Amino acid sequence: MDFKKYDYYRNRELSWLKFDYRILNEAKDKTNPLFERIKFLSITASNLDEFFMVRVGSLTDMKNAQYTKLDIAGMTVEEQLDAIAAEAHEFMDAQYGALNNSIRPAMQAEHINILRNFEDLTEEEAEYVDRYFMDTVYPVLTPMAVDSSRPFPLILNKSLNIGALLIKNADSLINRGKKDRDKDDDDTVFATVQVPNLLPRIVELPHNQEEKRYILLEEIIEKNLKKLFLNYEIKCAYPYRITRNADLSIDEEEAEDLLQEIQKQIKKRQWGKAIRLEVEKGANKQFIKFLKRELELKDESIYLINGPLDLTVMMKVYGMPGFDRLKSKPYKPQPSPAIDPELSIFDNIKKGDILLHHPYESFDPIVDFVKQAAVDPDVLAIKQTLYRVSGNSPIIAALAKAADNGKQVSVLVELKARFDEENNINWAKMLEKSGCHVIYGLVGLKTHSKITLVVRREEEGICRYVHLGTGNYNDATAKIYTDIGLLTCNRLIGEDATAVFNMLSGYSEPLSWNKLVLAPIWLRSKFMELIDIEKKHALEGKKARIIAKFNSLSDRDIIEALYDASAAGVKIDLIVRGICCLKTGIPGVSENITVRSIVGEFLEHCRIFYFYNDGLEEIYCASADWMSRNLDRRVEIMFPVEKQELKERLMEILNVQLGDNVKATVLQADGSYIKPDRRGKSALLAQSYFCEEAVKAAKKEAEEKNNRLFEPKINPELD
Amino acid sequence: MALQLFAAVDIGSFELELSIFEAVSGKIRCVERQRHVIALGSDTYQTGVISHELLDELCDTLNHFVDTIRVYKIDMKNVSVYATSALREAKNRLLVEDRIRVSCGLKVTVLSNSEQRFMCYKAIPVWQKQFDEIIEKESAIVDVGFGSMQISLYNKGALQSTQNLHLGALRTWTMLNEVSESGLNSRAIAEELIDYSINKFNNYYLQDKAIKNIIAIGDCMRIFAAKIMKLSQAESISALDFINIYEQVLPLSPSTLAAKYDVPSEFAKLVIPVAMIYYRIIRVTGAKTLWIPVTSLSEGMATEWAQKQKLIKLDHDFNGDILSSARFLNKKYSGDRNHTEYIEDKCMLLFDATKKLHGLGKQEKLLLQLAAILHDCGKFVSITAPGQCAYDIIMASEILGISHEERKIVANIVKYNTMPFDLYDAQMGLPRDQWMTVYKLTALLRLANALDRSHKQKIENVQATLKGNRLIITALTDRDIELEAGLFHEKSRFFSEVYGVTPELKRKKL
Repeated sequence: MDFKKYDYYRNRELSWLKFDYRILNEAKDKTNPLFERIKFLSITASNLDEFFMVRVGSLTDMKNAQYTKLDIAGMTVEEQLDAIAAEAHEFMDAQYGALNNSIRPAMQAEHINILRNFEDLTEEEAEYVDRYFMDTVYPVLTPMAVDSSRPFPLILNKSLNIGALLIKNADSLINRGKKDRDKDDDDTVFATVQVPNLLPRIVELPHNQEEKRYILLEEIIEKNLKKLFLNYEIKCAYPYRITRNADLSIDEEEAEDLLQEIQKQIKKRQWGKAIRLEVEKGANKQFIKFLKRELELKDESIYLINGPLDLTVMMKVYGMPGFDRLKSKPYKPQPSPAIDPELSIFDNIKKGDILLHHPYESFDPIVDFVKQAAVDPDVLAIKQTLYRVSGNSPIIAALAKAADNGKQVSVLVELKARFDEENNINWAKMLEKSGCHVIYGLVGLKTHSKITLVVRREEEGICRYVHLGTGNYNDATAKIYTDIGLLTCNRLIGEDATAVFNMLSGYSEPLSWNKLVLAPIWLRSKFMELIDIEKKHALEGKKARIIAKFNSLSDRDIIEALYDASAAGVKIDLIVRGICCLKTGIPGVSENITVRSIVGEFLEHCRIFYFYNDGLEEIYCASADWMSRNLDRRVEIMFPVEKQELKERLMEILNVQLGDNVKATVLQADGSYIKPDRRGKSALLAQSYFCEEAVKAAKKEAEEKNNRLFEPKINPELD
Repeated sequence: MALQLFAAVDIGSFELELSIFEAVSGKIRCVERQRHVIALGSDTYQTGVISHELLDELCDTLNHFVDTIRVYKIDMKNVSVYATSALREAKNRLLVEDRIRVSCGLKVTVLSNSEQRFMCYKAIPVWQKQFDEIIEKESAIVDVGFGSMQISLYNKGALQSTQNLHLGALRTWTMLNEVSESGLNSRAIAEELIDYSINKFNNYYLQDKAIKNIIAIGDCMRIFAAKIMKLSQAESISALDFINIYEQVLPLSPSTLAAKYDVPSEFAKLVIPVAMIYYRIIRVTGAKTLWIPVTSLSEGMATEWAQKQKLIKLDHDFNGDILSSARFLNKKYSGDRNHTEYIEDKCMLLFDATKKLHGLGKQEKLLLQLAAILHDCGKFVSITAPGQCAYDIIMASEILGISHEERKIVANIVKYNTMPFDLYDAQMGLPRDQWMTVYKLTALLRLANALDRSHKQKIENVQATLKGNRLIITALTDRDIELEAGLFHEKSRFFSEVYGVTPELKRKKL
């Protein structure tokens, strides 16, 4: 059986767009609180921006380099770009459809009105807006005109601008001087001004009625545009926005100093070639033509927008104070019942492996782990890999403190974490200054693994404490991303962890691994082996089953192995949040495979892999997805979870997710995702279920503790 | 006892290794190991010197090791840095040692072959608990290194003999490589070459005695066991199973081995030649079981350290091994067994009785004992010049467990037992403290010898007591000891010269 046919695979970009659609559906879903819908809409926009900058960007690069290889689905680069353009146009229409037809009316019903045009302002409001313009906005604007002596200015990536076509006033000074020099018969001039991103884009209007009214900054500028071009007549003016190619190409082999090279490249990102132009719908043809020519764009790269440009502004709307009633009740991550707050984190781990499910359970133990290690006199060394960290990270502060306390602190900072490069460079420097040993990983490989090692000298010997995770060491995103973390002092894992860091520092590679499986060398073959074992068992007529939950599936070999296993009779259930190049329901190929996606309030991020293995069930967690980049070009770690009760917990997580019939959608043979049939079943929303369970568990633990503490002591003599 | 930490740095001919060991309540355990592949050996074996490029890399890695040692806050007195043949045979050895001392702050000890092997052996019983059980039967420790191999034969729990063969992983690989380029049947030729060495060993040492167990040590075999035979820690495998697996992987190329079995690429080309050597040994000896302990030189270093720090007690009697292999050597050269045993016994007695005079310790006592065991072996070659011949035999034989310098001391004691003590000669050949040891111990051996001139062990019971400047030796015997008594004065003159004490032989009837 040939499982390699192009027909059996879906293009990853188109599959990704499907994912953004699923988020958009959440924005449209009236059962979600209004402001949560607003947030989902904003997420679709920021996702799409990144998609253009990185994916469309790199495809454009490939096109320019005349790359001829076909993708997993047999498409050429041009075919992909065309298909993406068509889908993206439709998608953006859908975004604004959702905004105008669904969200805006709902906002109005809640007496929130973001005015579409400055023409809608009342007289009183107009006065306020003009005053605001002169006092606050005008001083920071830099209007620029374009003519033969002033070339088209560089427009910053993702910045919002207002462009205008101007006609020279016959009696202006400028014009007179110019007339002497040349006799340009076309007297239309293009001018542009950037909407300053330092000022709030949403301006609240003074109000005395029940309705809260807002206007967008660009409308205020447009209204007062005349004040910027005093000697011109404004023919027309529209907001526009450019997205640029931001796919960094870093030649690591050649780079003398990776840190400096990346700094250089980040600056360049602002000036990558334009790949998308957004202009307000109904804009003047001459206006569009001008931009198209200056930016060297094709028609399909121009998007006419029916509404305010750059919907990431909706995140600002979400953040506006005073609308808590229109948001989900904020969930507070619960303390894990496995952790006794009265003991040190080390003593807690000594009691047994601890599995944490974030954000249902708090990320604090991980922060405490590093914090306590920093001040513990018995700790000899702390080693950690960092990929993305929060702005004011308590982990970074703790690491710096540890170095200050004379511990050996080795931190692997991945400088190549996309769009976090600048952030990472800054605190890498800071860590270095505080005396940490900072390494930048291996040439050509991104270090995506999440591992922390604390070496402690104890009475009974050297003990290593290890945290392994599926998500970043970022206390901020740990409140939003669902992830699994394992805290352990298992000796074999400890040895492996030491070997990981020795390998990353480039000095030593272990002869063998005890428990951990690492990409890029061993992980792919381990997955293939595990899938193959299920296949063999299925062929022997035994029960065979795979359940895997992760973010993206795009690796051809893995998909092929899954098809092979499915054809042999292995029952495979996948929970894939985003891209999925695998097709379900192909007769004889993938009939035994189901794929579902959960898009919820929390970003599904954990990676759990379960294999039935003829009853000797194996279950792993990993930092890697089933994508070629994870398996071939990154340092990733997969770790087994072996304690029976922890295995059961992971199984429960998988089973609850498989049972979700509220936020889950199931991939159909035609590529669409639809909600599962709920007839006869009660509603199960996995994320809410986990929240409730975590609260219950924490409560139970607290009660038990109270009972222990306040056991009444009765004096028998008085009795 | 509180936790103690030790760092072992092994500068091998193929890789550098840092191992951190902890000792807690009588147990040693490796807590961290770092390896860095650097082919110092290739440089040394080919050009005779270690190049500057490799030296830079060497120091760079050692500095990284030092960083790790600091992390564990290990005191420098608990750090051992041992180098083996790559450095031992390098002409610029002193330069290299100095560079390491200056740039890394590490003092390197270069081990002789026998010290190196013995240190490896030392670790085996610590990590392989059945060791003493295994060597009750005829067994051989076969240690195939990169440049050469060592075979040591054990029986009834004690070492019998040991021999170094110029057959190692790199050497065999080169051989295989050369013949395969010439298009000949490389396997047959390599096997023939290996057999040639092994058969020689068989003829002189094994003499067709069957061997039951082979204890295989050395890095390549450890990798073969872990990766290809999939053995976990310290396991055994039947010879038949080994041969089966060996036959399966024999045709595979190094790259296939690396890909299919995850053999580290630097070892991929070496594991097959090494397995081939073991295969031929199994064929020749008829061994039934192959034991593969997980130990290497680093574990040996840790064992030595822990023993010195009195953190562990070794079950196996290694001094017994040293003595038994010396006795085996004496037997091989037809030394008079009754006489040597007698002298050995009396030497020990005299050593203890004169402790106040010589001030020497346990290790020197062992050297004296070895000298006593071997003092008669020179007659095998020449009855008229037994001293010089014994010296040559001892210097040409390996005695596992003592250093090269110590072997020289033993050889000299034996030599000056019969030859006039040449102070000038002794001073030239040995450092001051060592010739002093030779001087003092020779006097004891000569005195002991004086008690058995007839080689008939007539004086069975002897007591020795130090009284003022006299050493009273009381001989309890009913037999006629005229010969001994007559020559005693003359023979004991040397003793008086050394110690300023006059020995007196007193006969006491039983």
